[in-house]
Amino acid sequence: MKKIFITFLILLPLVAKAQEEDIEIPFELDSVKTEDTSYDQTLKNSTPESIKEAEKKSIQKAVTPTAPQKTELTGLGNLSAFNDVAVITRRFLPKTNRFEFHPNVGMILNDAFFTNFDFGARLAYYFSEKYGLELIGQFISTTNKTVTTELAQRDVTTESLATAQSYYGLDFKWIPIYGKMGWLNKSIVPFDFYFSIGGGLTKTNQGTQPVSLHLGGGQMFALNKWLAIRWDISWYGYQTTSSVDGSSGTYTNLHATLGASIFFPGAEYR
Amino acid sequence: MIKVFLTTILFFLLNSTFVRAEVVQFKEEELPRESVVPIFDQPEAVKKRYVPYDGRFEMGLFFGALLNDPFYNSYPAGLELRYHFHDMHAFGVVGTYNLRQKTPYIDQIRRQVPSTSIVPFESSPTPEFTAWGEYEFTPYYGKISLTKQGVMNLSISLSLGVGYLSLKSDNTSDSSVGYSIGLNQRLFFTRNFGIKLDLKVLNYTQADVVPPGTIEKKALANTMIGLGVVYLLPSL
Repeated sequence: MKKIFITFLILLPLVAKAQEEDIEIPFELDSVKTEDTSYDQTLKNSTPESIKEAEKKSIQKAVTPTAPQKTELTGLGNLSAFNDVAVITRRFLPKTNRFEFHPNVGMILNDAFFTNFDFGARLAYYFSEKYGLELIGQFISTTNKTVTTELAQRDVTTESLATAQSYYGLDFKWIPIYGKMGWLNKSIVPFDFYFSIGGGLTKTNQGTQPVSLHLGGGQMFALNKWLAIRWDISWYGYQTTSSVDGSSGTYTNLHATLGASIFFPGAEYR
Repeated sequence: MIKVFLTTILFFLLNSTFVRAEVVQFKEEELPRESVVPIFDQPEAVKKRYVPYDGRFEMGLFFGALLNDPFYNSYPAGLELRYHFHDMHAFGVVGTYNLRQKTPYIDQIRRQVPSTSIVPFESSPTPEFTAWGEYEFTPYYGKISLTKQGVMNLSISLSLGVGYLSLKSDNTSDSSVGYSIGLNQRLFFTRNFGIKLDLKVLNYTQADVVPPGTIEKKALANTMIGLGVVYLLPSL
C-alpha cells in the first residue's frame, strides 16, 4: 500500500503541466454544462458517440471567439435618465473628519470714518464633505481716516461712533458647491464654495461686547491634499450703545479676508 | 520513515521541475518607457469651453453701492458693453448713473456738536454720472456642480479702468478723472446668460467740505460692490 502511494506521488507531477498556447484538454470531460438547452434535450436521446461529438463541438464553440452579432438599437430616446451621476468627479480635497486651520488678513470695506485691518484665525472641524463647525477669532486694528481727523478739527469727536475691535464666534458651515477651474488654461485647480452662519461677541471701542450675527461666504482653492488658499466675505451685525451720549445704534461691517487653509490630519485615500 | 521523507522531497523536486511559468516575449516598442504619461509642451487644461468668450460681445446691466462716503450713500445703476478679443482678454466701456441719499451721520454730528451746523455737508459731492474704459483679464475659467446632474460655468476676472466722473452735490457741480481696480466673478446659467458679482475700488478726487476755509479737492478711494446680469452675443 505504501509503495502504491509513493508511486502515485512520484507520478502526479508528470501530468501537472503549465498552460500552453493552445488550449488542449487532454482528457475527456464527464459533463459540460452549457446554456444551450437544445444540448440537454439531445443528451437524453443520444448514443455515447454522438454525445462525445456534441461535447467536442460545445467545447470548440466555447473556446472559439464568435463574430459579434448585429444588434438593433432602437428606443434610445426613451431611456430613463440616470438617477445618480456625479457630473464633476473626484472631489480633490477631502474634508470629512479633518480639521482646518485658517490664518487670514483682511479689512473692513464699509467703514466711512476708520480704516480697519483684520487679523484673524479660524479653526473648523468637518463632519462630512458638506457640513462643519468653525470657531472664529478676529482682531481689528483701527486708524482714523482723513475725514475723521478733519472732523476733530471742527470739535467733532468720533468716540460716539462704534467700531469693532475684536470678534469671537462660532459658525455652522455648509459647502454645497464643488468645482474645478483652469488657471491660465494650463492647470486645473479644484475649489469649494461655502456659506456660513453663526454668532458671537464683538468687542467695540465703546466698551461694550454685544452679541453679533455673522453671515459669510467664500471659496477655497486646493493646492494639494492639505493646503488651500481661501478668501472670505463676511457680514457682521450688532447693536450697541454709545458710551458718550448713551444713544444706541445698529452697526454692520463687511469684511473681506484672504488666507491659507491647512487641513489635518492627513487625507485617507480611497 | 526515512523512505517516506525522501519520497516527499522527491515529490516536491519533481513538482518544481514540471510546474513552471511560461516565458512570454513582448516586442520592445510595446513596453512602457520611464513615464507612461505624455508631457505636452503647451498643455491645455480646457480644450473646449462650454461658454467661450473669444470673439463675442458682452452686454451687462448692474446695480451697486459705494461703501465709503461718510455723508452721502451713492448707489450706481449701470450698463456695460465689452468685447472679448480673446478668452482671457477683453476691453469694454461702463456707464453708471448714481442715486444719492443722505446718511444719518450728518444729523447725528450736528445734534452732538451744534457748532458744526456751519459745515456745508450738503455741498459734499458724490458721483452722478460716470463713464469708464476698462481692460479685463480672465485667468480663471471653470465649472461648478450644484446638483449631481447640473453644471454651471464660471470665471474670475481682474479689471483695470480709467474714466470720467461727473460729481454733484445739492448746490454744486464738479467733475473728476479717476481709475479703478476690480475683481469680478461671472456665473453662467446657459452658454449666453449669467450673473456677475463685482468688487471695485474707485480712485478719484472730490471736494472736501469738512475743513474750515476754502474747499479743496482731495483724493478718495471708494469701494463699490455690484451685482448684475450679463448676456453674450452672438448667442450659441
